[in-house]
Order: sequence, then C-alpha cells, then structure tokens
Amino acid sequence: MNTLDDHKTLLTSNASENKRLLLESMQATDDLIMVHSSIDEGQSVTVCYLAGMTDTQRLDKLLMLYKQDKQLLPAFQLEANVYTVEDAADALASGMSVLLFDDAGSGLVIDTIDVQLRNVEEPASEAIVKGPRSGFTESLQNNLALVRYHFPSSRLKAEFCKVGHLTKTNVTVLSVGGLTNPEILREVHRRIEEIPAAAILESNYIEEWITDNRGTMFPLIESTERPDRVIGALLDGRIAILVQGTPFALILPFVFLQAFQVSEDYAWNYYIGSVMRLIRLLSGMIGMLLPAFYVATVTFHHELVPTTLLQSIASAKEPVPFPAVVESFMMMIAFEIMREAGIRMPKQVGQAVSIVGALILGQAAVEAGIVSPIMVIVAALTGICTFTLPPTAINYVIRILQFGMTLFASLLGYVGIMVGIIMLLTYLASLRSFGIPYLGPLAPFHLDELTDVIVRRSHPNNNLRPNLFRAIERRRFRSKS
Amino acid sequence: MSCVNVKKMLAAALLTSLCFVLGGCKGSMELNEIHIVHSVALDEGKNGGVRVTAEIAKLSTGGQQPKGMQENTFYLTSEASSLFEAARLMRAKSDRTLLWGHTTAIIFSADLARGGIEKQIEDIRRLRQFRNSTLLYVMEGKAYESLKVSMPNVSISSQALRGLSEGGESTALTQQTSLIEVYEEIVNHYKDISIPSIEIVNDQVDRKLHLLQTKGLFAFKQNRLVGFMRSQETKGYLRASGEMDGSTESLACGAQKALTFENIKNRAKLKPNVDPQLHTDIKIEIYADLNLTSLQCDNITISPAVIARWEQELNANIAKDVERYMAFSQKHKVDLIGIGEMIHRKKPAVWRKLKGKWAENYAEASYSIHVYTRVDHTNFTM
Repeated sequence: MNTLDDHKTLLTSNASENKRLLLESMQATDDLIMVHSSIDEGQSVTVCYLAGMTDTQRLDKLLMLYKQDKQLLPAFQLEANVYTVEDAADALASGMSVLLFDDAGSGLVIDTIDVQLRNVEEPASEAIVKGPRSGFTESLQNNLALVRYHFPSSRLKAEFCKVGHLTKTNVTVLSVGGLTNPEILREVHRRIEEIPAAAILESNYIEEWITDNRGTMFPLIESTERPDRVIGALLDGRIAILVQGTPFALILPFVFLQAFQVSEDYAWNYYIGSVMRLIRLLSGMIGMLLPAFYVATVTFHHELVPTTLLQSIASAKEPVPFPAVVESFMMMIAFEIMREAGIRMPKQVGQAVSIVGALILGQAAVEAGIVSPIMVIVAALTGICTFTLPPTAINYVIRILQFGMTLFASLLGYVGIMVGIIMLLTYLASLRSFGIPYLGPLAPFHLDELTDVIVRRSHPNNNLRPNLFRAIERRRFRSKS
Repeated sequence: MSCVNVKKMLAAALLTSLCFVLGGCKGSMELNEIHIVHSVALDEGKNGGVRVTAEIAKLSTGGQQPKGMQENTFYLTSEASSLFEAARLMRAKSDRTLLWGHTTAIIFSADLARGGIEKQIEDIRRLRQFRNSTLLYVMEGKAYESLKVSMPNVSISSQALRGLSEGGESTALTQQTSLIEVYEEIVNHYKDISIPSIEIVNDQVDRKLHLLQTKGLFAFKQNRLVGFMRSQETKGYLRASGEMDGSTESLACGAQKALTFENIKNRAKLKPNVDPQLHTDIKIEIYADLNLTSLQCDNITISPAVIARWEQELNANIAKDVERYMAFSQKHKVDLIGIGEMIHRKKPAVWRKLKGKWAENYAEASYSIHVYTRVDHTNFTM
C-alpha cells in the first residue's frame, strides 16, 4: 500500500483494491454504492456515490454523455482529480460522485449532489415590515448566490475554506476588495484556519472559536439570517462568514450599539428610522432595568413615587407575603419559562401556552395574592420591551442582566443599580471585537459616528463609512461638484 | 480564563460585597412593613410640649383594584417635649414603621404657632423624610380636628388640603405655602412669613356636614403668629406682592346687581425710598388686566367711555384692598412682601442704619398706591 507523508493512501490501478480501500475508509457504510461500468473499449470505471444524496438520473446522463464525448465530463467536475482514498472518501461524504478509473490510479469528482433543502423564505427571527424579505437557507451556495444577487459587484470577494476535521464544513468568508481592512481579514482567516474543532454544525461553533473573548456572554460577532444585513455590513467594511448547513451568517467586527439596529431602519424615512432606533434603545434599557427600578423604589425609595401611586402599589402589595425582590424573581422566571415554552411548543399549542400563561400567571397569581398586579405590569412591560430588540444574543444577555440588576437593586436600591450599571459599562468598555472597542463609537467617543448609530442619518448625509471598522475607503459616494 | 483575570474578578466581587455590607442592606423596607402618613396636625401639648397627630391611610386588601387615595384613614397621636421625640414615640403605637415622606400637609394649631414655629420647622427638617413641597396650614382651635373632617369625594384629608390650596390660584383668598418656603424665610429673614388658614365650616345646604375651607392668611412676625388677614387683606397682599394669579372683582350697578370681572393678569412694582431722616416712603404700582365675565346691569351700552369708568372704579376697589393690607401689616409690623430686603439690596448702606429698627420704621412708613387696570375683553357684550 502506497502512503503519503500526511498518512493518505494513494489510489491504486487495481479496481478491486480501490473499492476495498474506499469501503474501508468509509467505514463499510451500507449507503455507499459502487458500480463497475465499462465506458469505453478497454476502459472501465467504478462509479461511487452515496445513496440518497445523489441525483442518479443526472449521473446516468453524464455518464452517457461521457461515453459519447470524453472531453465533456471533465467540464462537470467540481474539483481536481483525486489521487488518494481519503480525498475520494471526503468527496463522497460531501455528496459528490467519484469515478475511479481503473488502471489510472486516480478518480474524478462530479457534482451530482441532490439534497432536499428549504426554499428561500422570510427569516422567522428577523421579520420586517418594509424591505427585502428573503432570508438565508441551509445551502451555502444558495446563501452566497443571494448575497451576490443583492450585491452584484465585482469587488465582492468570496473565499472558501473547510473547517472541522470530521465534518469538513464549507465556510465562505465574504469581503469587499478595496474596502475591507486587509489586516482584519487576515486575522479572520488566521483564526478560522487555527480552529481545531472536529465538527462545525452551526455558525456559533465558529463564533466561539474565533471570538476575542471566550469568557464573555456578550456577543462579539453578529449573527443574522438576512442577506441585506450582511450586505450592509460588507459595505461598512465589515466581514461576513457563511457556514454550510445554517441560515445564520456571522458578521464581524461587532459593537454593542449595533445590537439595537435593524436593516429596516434604512428602508424607512430617516426620522422614522431614528425614532424606531431610539425606541429600541429605550426598550433595551427598560428591559434590563425596569424590574430593578421597581424593586429599588418599593423597598428603598418610597418617597420618589407620587403619593397616589404609592398608595395604589401599597394596597395591591398588601396581601403579597413575599418581598418585592422574590416577587420580581418569580415573575421574571415565570416569564422566561413561558417564553421558552412558546418557542419550543408546536405552533398549534403555542397560543394555548400564552393564554394559560397570561391567565394563570397574571390574573390567578394576583387573585391568589402571590404577586401584586403592578409586578405583573412590570414583568409584562419588561418582556415586551425585550421583544423589540433584534434577536441577537444581546437580547438574551439583557434578559439575564435583569436578574443581576434586580439583585443589586434589592441590596442597595438605586445605588445598587448605579453600581451595576458602572460595573457593566466598565466591563463593556474592556471588550474588543477583532480589536475594535465594543462600546465604540460611544467609548472612545466619536460624535459624528454616533449620529448613524444611536439615530440614523439620511442616505445623502451618510457619505462617510464608520471609521470604527477601519474601512480602507471611507467615502461612500462622490458629492456632486 | 487567565489567572490574572480570575483574580481581578474575585477582587471586584469582594469589593462589591464589601460595598453591600458596609452600605447596609437593611435600609430596605417592604411596602407592607410601613404605614404611609398623609397629613400631620401639630397642637400644643402639656408643659410646653407638642402633640402630634398623624393621619394614616388604611390599606384595603380585598378586591383586585387598588383604591388609591380613596382609602379610609386612621389616626395616631403622641405627645412629647419635641416633635422629633413625639414622632419617634408614635412608633410605639404603630404596628409598622411610619413613612413621613409622603406627608402632604402639616397643620399647626394657632395656639402653637403663637408661641413660635421655628422649633417645629427645624425638627421637621431634621426628620429628613418630609418633602420640601409639604404644604403648611394654621388652624384656629385644635389642629387635629381638621384631619377628621370628611370632605365630599375625598377620604384622605391631605388630598383635600392640597386641592384647597390650589384653589387660591383662582380665588386669591389663600396662597399655597410649602415647607421649604417657610424654612427659607426663617433662615434668611428676607421677609415675614404668611401661612394659609384652614377652618372647619358647616355646609350651607346640609348644616350637619362639615367642610374644610381655606380663606385668609395668618401673618407671622419672624416665627410667631401675630395676626390673621381676612379675604380683602389677603387679596391686597397677593396683589401688592405680585403673587396673584387669578381673582374676581365686582362693581355694583344698581340694586343687587353687579358687574363681575375676572383678573387674568397682575403685576406689582414696589419702589421703596428712604430719605436722609430714614423715613421710608413706598410707592406701590399695580397693573391688572381683567375681563368682563358677568353683566347683570340693565340698559347698558358698552363703549370706551363706559369701560374707562369701570377701570377707574376697579382702580379704586383694588387700591382699597391693598390699602387694607398695608394697614394690617403696619399695625402688626410684619413685612410680608419683603420691602426691607428691597432696600437692603438697593441701598445696603442705608439698610445698615435701618436694619435694627426696621419693624418700627416700616410701621411708620408712608405709602402711595397707584392702580392701573385695563379691561381687556368684554366678551362681545353689546
């Protein structure tokens, strides 16, 4: 047996031996089909493919064509000829057909993959009212085509690589030539190449390997299933990573304030876009701090509430046996359980969950004197506020931070909340996403860039790309002279 | 995570825990551990002490909808040598901690106020919980009785007291006075204090029904109550001090018939002048804009000449109000407007000579009142 330096076995000129080696390499899997066929006088070939993954009609057609014209088949090959058993096995595993030529010691890889995948649909997690509605699917080729369709530019550059020594997942790194900072791009490639993982089944597998800080719960890389969001990011000088088998693309670098942006902001008039963005920021703050403020106010700062309101809150809280913080935690946990149940439950019973949740946890809990009505309002408003945020990981982080902030508030009132906020901001300021400050452009402060982050600039006034992402070409367009 | 990071995080956690421990986590009070005090009445106690009565809202637990300020109330009373002590002693009668921060009104009995309110105001400030915006009232008789008067549609007196004082903006029969305003004057001595009066009256229809009424102001010399300004003096005072927002003026026009005007704007300009003999002369200019709102007179044609006549009559009426106020303030030697402070700021050298005997000087000051009214609208009356 001939072996190479990297422990690969060369294909032999003996057809039976090749079949044996390939079968052994494929763990003698039952769905491996190997058919011996003579395609020409004196030349025979072993056609290998995995049943269920291959378009056999196409394969037959190609073989027939090959019999007629020997020059035709190489036109359909996806990769160069394979010379080792391992390469042939990898090609088979990824859905290709391999033609092993007898007496030649080599094989030909043909793209005959036929896997039923989802069609392009509107992304369920990033619904919009106005703007393009197509979303990524599990097909990498399709996702790349979607990006190219919406961004038909010769400057769009796609770089392929395979990650995961077992899954050999196809990964595509997208950038824009002459716009994306090459240093960041090099760093992205370096980090992807150094991933030692066995399997990459979802984009988060890559995110966790290449992130700047593996110990943080804050997302340092954005995730989206919207092609328009990816294109918007590419045009800002950022980099996108598409991963085979998942509709979620990664975008990097990512800064905290971008968690409050949606691509739809740019589909509306800039006043509307700005107001919606501000509302999302406000909602984020309410979502994180409202339970904490409630607890701090009703346990420490009674004087700050208008007398009539305090009287109402006190009356409502009179029969509740638990301290405000316990009440608050109970409601927040109940809400999280309901939300999780709502996501996991089949759609048919999802409505029942929300009705039961609203009735049981809302009205019945109040009537039973377990929680006060005001706490139900606080929990509901908090929950609704978190729904306004795009479904990035920050959404989840904010929900987790609610608990911490509420705990601080129960210990020191508003001072506790301030302690929490200061600690949070200090921590956020210490984070980096591919070297970019996570709190930018707030810290370090750049007012001109904030005008397209906190609010949004009109398109004619949005000439300069954010300096934050170190794009090479800063101007988006040339002003009329 | 590196060892250094772990150390940093542990240090941060330790510092935070220390903050909580040193800061004192026990400052918290659950809402069902406190009683919310809404109003406080202060009366004279035995042996020069003070008797404190607190109006506290009962909290109803039945039903899902809270009643807000429509709850019933109960009262706690305690007596001690100082207000601070009395407030603390009241805790012995209460099953919960008393929260004074929501006290809307404090009512002093006139007897207590005659002895001086400085001590009480000082104690209230030291209690810290009271809001600066807490309203102050003075009542002739027992102050705590005012808390027990049930007002129509309001079961907590503090709501009634707040609403009544706000009525002064349209009637000019009283003036909202807050704790911080009185405290400032006690500390700064810029002018003498006036605190609105509260009284219990019988309803004009249902004689058995008792109502609270705010009409007139109590005048204080420094911190002691010295006199009561009735409606006319109060209006005169509010006009002269430029603090009037709205009021009504009437002119008679035949038997039991009157023209009524609504005051929509009032501005006062005071020009005190001290001559070399240290005699003070005060020139008071009042500029008032009024609208005609009621016309009961028969056969009247409104013309510029008629309006001019009304304006002259209104000038005389308003001047009379201001004159009554001036007479009152000179009689009791109370400078409620702060004329002394005007002289102080304008002529500090003269004030140095005048300061020690300002009360007497003010009482002997001459004054002239010039009223310029303008009837803006007759509301299309022909």
